[in-house]
Amino acid sequence: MSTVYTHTLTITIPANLYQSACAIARSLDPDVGGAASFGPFLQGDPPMPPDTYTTSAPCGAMFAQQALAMAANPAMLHAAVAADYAARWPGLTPPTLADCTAFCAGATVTASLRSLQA
Amino acid sequence: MWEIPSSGVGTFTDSAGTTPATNVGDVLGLVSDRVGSSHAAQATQAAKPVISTFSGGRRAVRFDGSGSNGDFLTASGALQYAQDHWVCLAAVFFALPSSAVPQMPYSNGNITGQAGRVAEFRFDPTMRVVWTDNASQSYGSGATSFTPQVGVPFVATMQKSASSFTLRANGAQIVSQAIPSSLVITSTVVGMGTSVRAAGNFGFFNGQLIAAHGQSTLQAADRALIEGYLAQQIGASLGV
Repeated sequence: MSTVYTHTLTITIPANLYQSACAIARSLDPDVGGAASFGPFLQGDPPMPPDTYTTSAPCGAMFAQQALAMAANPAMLHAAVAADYAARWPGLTPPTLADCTAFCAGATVTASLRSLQA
Repeated sequence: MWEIPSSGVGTFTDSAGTTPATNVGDVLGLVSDRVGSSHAAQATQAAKPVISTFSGGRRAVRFDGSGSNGDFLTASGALQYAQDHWVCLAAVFFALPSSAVPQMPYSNGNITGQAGRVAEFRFDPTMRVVWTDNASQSYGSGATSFTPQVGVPFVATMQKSASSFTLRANGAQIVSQAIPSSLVITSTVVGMGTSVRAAGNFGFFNGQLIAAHGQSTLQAADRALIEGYLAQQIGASLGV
């Protein structure tokens, strides 16, 4: 049964959280490309590197609720991420609780309803 | 050729192609090549376009252009080319970016895996042809006389030869622009990006329905045939 993608989840992070946020996003993405959610890391060279990175993805209502809940609860986020790494990414080192705590403190996570017509 | 049939045949929500994408609102992780084997895929949920509708309930693929990369699909294998080629698109804009300013692709040192040069091209929201050459850090564009309207489908054809880009809208040529001989197309991405910094992750249209690619010189008669088919599929009017 396919998911009904009724919402858009948007996450904005400060640039200093880029690495850990990508690692967390790897596990939140139901597909295999979550680590690329925030795009490539951008260094100097004009224009100046960004202060923040943003990603947004269509999702179901339940996923949106879970994401908002986890963004407010580092322990819950860490448990979910650790479980996913154990199941899908056993060869990779999962984000630590400290990473998740910093993510929750620094990230802005919002969910909104989507429109599907031109 | 990538087409979004109403049946959902050949469209999947995941990049592995295991879960069919059949409903309006479904994300697209894989669109099968209905002619060859160059499928268009996206493994990152945040960068997947979504099946949507426009006038008459017709289906289109909506690239929302949000996030650091926007939405895009990347073609596999055989569409990695460095020869003459063409692309035909049947498209509709769901919305025009608030800043209709062309987003110049930006090539930076973070692009890896490119042996000395990457050149990328796209149609931007004001229907100009834009390209970059990562080796020389150069770019170029050509002004056009066609501006798509939100919700009004149109057919576009772009052909690259060794020395120029030619862009047509609804069957009429709107720009032909000389290109540097050093320009080598190395990747094909369809989608819509917002970040001028996300080189490689920008694409063509916001709301693409059908795309057809070829690696050769597209003859006029063949182009007319394809344009007619695409126009019929989306209700566009050629010659407008």
